[in-house]
Amino acid sequence: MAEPLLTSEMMVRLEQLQVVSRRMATGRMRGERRSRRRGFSTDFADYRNYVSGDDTRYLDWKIYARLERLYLKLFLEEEDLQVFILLDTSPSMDHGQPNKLHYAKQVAAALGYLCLCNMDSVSCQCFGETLLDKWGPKRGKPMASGFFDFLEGVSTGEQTSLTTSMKIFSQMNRGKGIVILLSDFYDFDGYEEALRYLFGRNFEVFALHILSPDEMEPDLKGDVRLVDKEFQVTTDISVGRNLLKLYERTLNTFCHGLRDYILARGGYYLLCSTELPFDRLVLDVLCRRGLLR
Amino acid sequence: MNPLDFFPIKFLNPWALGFLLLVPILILLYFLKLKRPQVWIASTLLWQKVIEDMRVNSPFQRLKRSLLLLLQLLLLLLLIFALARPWLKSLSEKEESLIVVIDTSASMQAREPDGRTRLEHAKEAVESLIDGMSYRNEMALLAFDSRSRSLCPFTANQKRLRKALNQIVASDGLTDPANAFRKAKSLGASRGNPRLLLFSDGSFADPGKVEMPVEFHLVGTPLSNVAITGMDVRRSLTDPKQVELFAAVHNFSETTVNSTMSIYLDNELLDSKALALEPETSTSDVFTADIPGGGVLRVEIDLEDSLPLDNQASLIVPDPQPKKVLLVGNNTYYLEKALASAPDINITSCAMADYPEHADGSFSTVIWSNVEAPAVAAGNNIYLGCVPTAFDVKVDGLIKAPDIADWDNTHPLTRFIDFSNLLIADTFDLSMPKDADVVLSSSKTPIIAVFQRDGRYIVVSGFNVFKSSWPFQVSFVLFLHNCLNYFDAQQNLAGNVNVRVGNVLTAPEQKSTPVVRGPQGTREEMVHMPGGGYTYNGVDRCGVYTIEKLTDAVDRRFAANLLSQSESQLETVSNPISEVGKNTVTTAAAKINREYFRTLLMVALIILFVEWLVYHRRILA
Repeated sequence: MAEPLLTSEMMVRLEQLQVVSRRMATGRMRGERRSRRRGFSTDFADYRNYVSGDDTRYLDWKIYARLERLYLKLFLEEEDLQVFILLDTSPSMDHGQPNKLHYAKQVAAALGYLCLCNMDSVSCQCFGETLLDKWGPKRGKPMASGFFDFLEGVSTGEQTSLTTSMKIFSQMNRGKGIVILLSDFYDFDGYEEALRYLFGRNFEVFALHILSPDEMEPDLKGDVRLVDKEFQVTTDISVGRNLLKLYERTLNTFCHGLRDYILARGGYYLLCSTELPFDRLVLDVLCRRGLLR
Repeated sequence: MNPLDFFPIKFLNPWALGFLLLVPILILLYFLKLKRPQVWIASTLLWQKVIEDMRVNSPFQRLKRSLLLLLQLLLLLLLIFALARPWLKSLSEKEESLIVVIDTSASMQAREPDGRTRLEHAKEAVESLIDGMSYRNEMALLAFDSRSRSLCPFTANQKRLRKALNQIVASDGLTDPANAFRKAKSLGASRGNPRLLLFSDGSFADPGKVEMPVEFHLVGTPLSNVAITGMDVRRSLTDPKQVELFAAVHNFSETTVNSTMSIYLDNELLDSKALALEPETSTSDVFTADIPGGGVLRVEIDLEDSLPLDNQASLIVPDPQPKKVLLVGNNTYYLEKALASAPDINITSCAMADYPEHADGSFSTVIWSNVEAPAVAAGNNIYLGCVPTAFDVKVDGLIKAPDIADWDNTHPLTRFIDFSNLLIADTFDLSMPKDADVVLSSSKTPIIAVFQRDGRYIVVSGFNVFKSSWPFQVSFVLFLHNCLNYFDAQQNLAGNVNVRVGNVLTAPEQKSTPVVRGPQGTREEMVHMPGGGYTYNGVDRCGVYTIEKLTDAVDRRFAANLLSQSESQLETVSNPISEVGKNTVTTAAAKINREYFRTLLMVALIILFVEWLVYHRRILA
C-alpha cells in the first residue's frame, strides 16, 4: 500500500498555516481573506464624505464634532482566495531519486490542504503538452481527501508544452488568484511565453522549480549516451571536468534566468531539490520565504 | 626495383612496415563508437546547450577528444618504424673507431714496483679511455698472447666495454701479436677512420709490417727476474730405470742471485741444489734420479721476484711401456734369441705372408729380416738385408765383400760396439736420404744408417745378416738392444707429453668425449673434429693437464711450461713495431650506417607516458 501523500502530523501542522498573497485577491464568495475591496466589516479602512442615502450608522460623530462636517467610515471586507495549483506531469517530471513528480504531488497536497483548511478555493490542474486532468475548484477541509485521491491518481502524461498549457489555462481562468506552478520548466520552446500568459492575466505566480539531485550535480563519467525521457532524443557526450563545469554554468544560467524573469514580473520563484524533504520545504523554507505564514 | 630504395632512410627489417596496416584498424575501432552506456535523463535541454557552448567556445574540442587517438597512432607508428630498424648514413667529424689490443701474455703478469701487475696497469689505462668516450665514439676490444681473441665488437656502450675489460685475465703464454693485428685490420676495414691502440710491454718479436697505424702504449717498466728457461728429461740409455733431468736457469738481473733449486717427483722432494746466479748469465745442470715408473717432475727455484710463474716448471715422465716387437721373415729364430735378453720386451714373429694380420699398428718396432718388398710399419722399422721402397733409400747394385771402413761409436745405436771383426759377404750399394745418420759404412757404401720419418725411426742395414759373421757376435745383440732403447728413450720422453702454453692437445677418435682437467682443477670437454679425433685449445696456464675418460681408461698427462727467455726477460720495448702502415682513407668526415631504432623506442616510451597521463586525467576528471 503506497504511503499517503501527507501524514496526519503534517496535516495538523499545515492547518496552522495559510498562503500569503501579496495582493489581496477578490473572489466571488465571502472568504477568510482580506480583500482590497472596502466593505462593511469591523476593520476600519478609510473615510469619505457623506452623501444623501448613505447608511447613517457609519457616520463618524467625533469628526463632526470637530469639523462640523459629516464623514462616513469605511471597513475592509474579507473575501476568499482562489488558488490554482498547476502540476507538470510530463515525462521529464518522472525522474530522479526522490522522484520529482511524487515530490511535486506532495507539495501540491500540502499547499492544497492548507488552502482548503483556510476556506480558499483550490483547484489542481495537471498539464503536459496541454491541460490534462483537473480537480476543483473546491473549498473546505472535507474536500481534502478527494484532493489527495486525485493527486495519487495522477500519472505521467505526454510531452511538455508550457506555452500551450498556460495559454489555455489563462483563457479558461479569467479570475484572479494565486497560481502555484510546480514544474521542472524543461521545455524546448522556453518558459517566457508561457509565463507571460499567466502574468498577463494578473495571476500571482508562485513558481516552484523542482529538480532532482542528479540534475543539479550529474554523476556521469566517461563516454555516455544521454537519452531524453520525453522526446527519446540521444546525445553522446564525453564527460570530463570541463564539461561538468559548463553544465553547472548552464544550469545556473537557466535557473537564474527563470528566477529573474519571474521576479521582474512580481512573481515568486523558488528552486528546490527533491533531496530536501518536502515537509521541510513547506513548513520551513516556504514560511521563511514568506509564501506561507 | 624496390620502392624503398627511393627513401634516404633504409630499413634493416622492412617487413615490419607491414604493421602499418594496423593504423586504419586503430582509427576504425576508435570511431566505431564502441558501446557507450545509455543514461536516461529527464531532459537533454540543458546538455544540448552545454554541447553547443562547447562547440562554439572551443574549436579544438574535437581535437582534444581525439588527442588520445592521436597519441595512440603516434605510438603505433613509432613502434612500427623502430621494428623496421631504420638506418641512415650519418656524418660526424669527431667519430672515432678505436680498436684496443691488449697484451695478456705471461710477461704482463710481472708485478711492478707499485704491487700491481702490468696487465692491471693496461686495464686501468683502457678503462680511462672508455670513460673518456663520447657518444660518437665506438671501441672494439681484442686480447692476445700467442693467440688472439675478440672480447667485444665495436660498440659505444661503455658498460659493455667495461664488462668485457674486467673479464680479461692474463695467460701464461708467449707473445705473438701478428694474429691480433690481422684481426684488428679486418675490424677496421668496416670503419672510415679506425685507430689501433696497442697496450703491451713490447716484449715480442718484431711482427714485421703492420698494415695499419698503430698507437703503441707502453705498459710497465724494466724489471729484474730469474727464470727457468730450459728443461728436458730422458731415460738413461744404459739404465732405463734412471732418468736424466736437464734444467737451465737464467738471471736477468744485474746482481748476483743466490737461491736453491729443488726437484720434486709427484710433489716429493728428490733433490735440491744451491744456486749462485751471476748477473745476466745462464746456469744449467743435469740431475739423475732413479724413476722406474712414471710421474711428474717439478723444478722450483726458491725465490721471490717479479714473475713467479717462471720460477717453476714441470715435466711428465711417462711410465716405461713394455716394448712390443714384431719379427717379420722366414728365419727369425736368431733375432728372437738376440732380443730375448732385453728387459720388458714382447716378441712376436710371423712370415711375410702373415704380416697383414699383424699390421694393426700395435708394435713399437718391426724388424724385417731378409724379406722381399718389405712394407713400412706404423712404428719404428729395422730393415736387415732388405730395403723399403718408400722413403729415399736407393739400391744401386750389390757390393761383394765390403770392407768395414768406419762406424760411429758415439751414436746411441752403435755405442760400445766394435765392428772391426765383422765379415760381410755382400751388401747393397745404398744411397741414403740426406738426413740419415750413417752409423756403419764401408769405403764404397753406407752399410747401416738411421733416419726419422713421421716421428718413427727407420734403420736400414744393407747386408744379409745370415751371410755375415754378425749373428755370432755380441755386437749384434748390443746393436738390437741399442736400437730399442734408443727408440724408447727418444719417443717416450721427447714425445708430445711436454708442451708449451698455447699448444693444442689431441686425443684419438672414440665414442665418448674425453675431458681435460687443467692445473687449476677446471674440467672441460674436448672438441670433436670433423675429420675424427678430439682437440683441446685451452692450454693457457703452466702446469699439468690430464686427459680423462679415454677409451683405454688410462689418463694421459701433459705438462705445459713457459720456458721462454724473451717472455721472462721483462724488458720493456718502447718501439717494438718497426714498420706500420698508413691509413689510405682521407681525413674527410667518416660516414657510418647509424641505426635509429633506439631513438624511436625512447620517443615511443615518452608518448606512452603522455598518453597514460591524458587518459588518467580524463578518467579522474
